[in-house]
Amino acid sequence: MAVTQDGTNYSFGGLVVTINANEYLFQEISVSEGTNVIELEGTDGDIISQVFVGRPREASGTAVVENDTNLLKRGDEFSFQVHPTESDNTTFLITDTSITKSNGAFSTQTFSARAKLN
Amino acid sequence: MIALPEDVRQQIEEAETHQQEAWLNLNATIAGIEVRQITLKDYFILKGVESPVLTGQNFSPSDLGIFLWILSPEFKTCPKARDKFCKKVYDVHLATAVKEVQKFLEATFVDADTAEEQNRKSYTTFLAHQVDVYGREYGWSIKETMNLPLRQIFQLNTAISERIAIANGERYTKLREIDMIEAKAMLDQFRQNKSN
Repeated sequence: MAVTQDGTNYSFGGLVVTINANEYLFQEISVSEGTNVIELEGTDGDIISQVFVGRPREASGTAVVENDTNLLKRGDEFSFQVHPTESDNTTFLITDTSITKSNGAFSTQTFSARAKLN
Repeated sequence: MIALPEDVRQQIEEAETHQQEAWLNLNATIAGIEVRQITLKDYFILKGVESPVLTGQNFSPSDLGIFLWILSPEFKTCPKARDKFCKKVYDVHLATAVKEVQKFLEATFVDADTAEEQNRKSYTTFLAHQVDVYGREYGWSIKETMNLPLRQIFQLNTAISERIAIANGERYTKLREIDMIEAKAMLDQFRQNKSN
């Protein structure tokens, strides 16, 4: 699994995760951490303060699924260590999956996920 | 980190070499006989004559002769020239030819997508689809597209599809033979690590 870091974006290749006792290979997965900026305006309309609110991590990628394994679906959870310096795994919830290609042995699925809040 | 077995890593490296080599338009040799890379036109001629060599079935020296003739730089629509050529092929070592044909076809189809979108009905042929894609993307004529080697076609299709997917904020996926070998090896290794 190679990890590349660009700012707060992480990309992985060849990550295997377990979901509901099945193994899934993520051919690629990228994780991003966004921020919402909330600006506070004074009575004269000038911005007097800014508050930075971190959004939960978002992930998207491509999974290769063996054909005797259930396809990924919304609500599936998986965990992995996003960066070696982190002591805990991040748990993600799949929020979206899209068109599946299949050849009889494997299928490919693209997916989006969001870090699960405790 | 999942370490792939050495033989799988070698196969991946070999597939990458085949990808690059495809752009050199080099002729190959099968049992000592020179052949061109399979173009789109060749592919449909071979399909038209129902060549068992192309489909990986058992084949006779005569089937091999026709296959090599169609791909020969000397190919022309002349039965006399074909028969003369095929006589040469009867002398080749069939076991060697079988191995070399297999290697040649593996290199040809290394970048082919083995997967299809499920439940999607198509109303056109692969050939018509390619003529349409390259006409639209690059302004190429039917003749130019027909003379393009399959090895380049598979890679260009990926490049075009990836570009379109990125423009639409989507991800393009593909399942080549080598992707399946890699996926299986990674999953096996993961399971083995887990059980240890």
